[in-house]
Amino acid sequence: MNCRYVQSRLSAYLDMELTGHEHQLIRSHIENCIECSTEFERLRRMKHLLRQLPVVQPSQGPEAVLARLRTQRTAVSQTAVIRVGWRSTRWWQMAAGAAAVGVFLWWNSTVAETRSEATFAASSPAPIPFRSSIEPSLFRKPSPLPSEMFTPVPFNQPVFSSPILPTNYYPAANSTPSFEGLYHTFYFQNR
Amino acid sequence: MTHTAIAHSMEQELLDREFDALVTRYYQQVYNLAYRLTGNAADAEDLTQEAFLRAYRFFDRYDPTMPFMNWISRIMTNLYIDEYRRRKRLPTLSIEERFENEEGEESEQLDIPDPGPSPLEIAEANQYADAVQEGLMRLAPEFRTAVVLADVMGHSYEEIAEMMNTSIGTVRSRIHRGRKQLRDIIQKKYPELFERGDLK
Repeated sequence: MNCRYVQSRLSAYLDMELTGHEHQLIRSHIENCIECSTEFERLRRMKHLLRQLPVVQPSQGPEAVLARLRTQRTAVSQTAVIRVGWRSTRWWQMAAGAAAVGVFLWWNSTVAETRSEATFAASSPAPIPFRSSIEPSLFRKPSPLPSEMFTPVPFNQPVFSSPILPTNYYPAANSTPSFEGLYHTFYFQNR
Repeated sequence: MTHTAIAHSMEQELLDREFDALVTRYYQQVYNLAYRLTGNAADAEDLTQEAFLRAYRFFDRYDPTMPFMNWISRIMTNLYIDEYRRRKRLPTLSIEERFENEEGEESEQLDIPDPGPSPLEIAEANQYADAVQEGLMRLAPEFRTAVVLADVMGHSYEEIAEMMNTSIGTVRSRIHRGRKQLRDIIQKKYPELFERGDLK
């Protein structure tokens, strides 16, 4: 057992943290080695300097900690109340209901319309005139057929005898000009 | 509010009271540890508060059969080392720094490793308290924590290893090297303190 090994174990020896056998070995070495015993004594002094450090008194008591704890608890209990409230109203059932209503509305406005139109157009044995008597959906605003978009004007017809167009063909004075209105104006001005 | 919620609330109330009692009882000891780690009153108060608040957050994990001081010391040392690494503003000695061995002289033989301090040593300890604290602040945080837990708080190596999440071998090494570094720092300022003649 050399001095280097012993000196690496001196603190553990000082703290009684070695096994019985190793403790005895270190002890017998220190008794016969001046260098190691001096090193040991210095470490022992250092330990006593640390152990005798006075207990530091805080400037204030635990009131600040207790106050912060109270604040934290208040916040936590408020969160708990909100959670319990949500639990009692069964928010997930409400969400499921809202989702079901949403799906129904969407289906009614798009899928049902497409299906009804397809049904009327293709698979009906005796086709009912489209748009003439049946609205495919309550939610669908009827769009004008291409033949209703505007009344075709014969090219060789004179200007003065231009057909009387529907009133909704002429844009209102305060409205933004529509494509049809502009097109119509351009068409008649350049005849 | 359901019955379960009421029972939970009452249980929480009891736990809160128990924790408040522990805060009141251990505040000074916890503060003392915080002061020895941080070296000043302001940081010590902050560290103490943070340690108690974290302990409260995880109070359901506390095993009442174990000493509360050990548990909160573990929380505090982890908190402190994390915070120290984050800041990295205090000057420390490198862990890898080497120290030379001093020349030895004649020594008395010791029957037991630690016979206890003499009145002279106690008087000196109070006299040199500031120098010791100053020296502690120059150690690496891991060394300082290990030395403070062992020598100031009086914990065993096994307890310190558990608190610092490391092995007993590492704790032994940190305490030994920490003490040696601290002794060399103090010896530079007060060479007479570790002279052989003064030891007798």
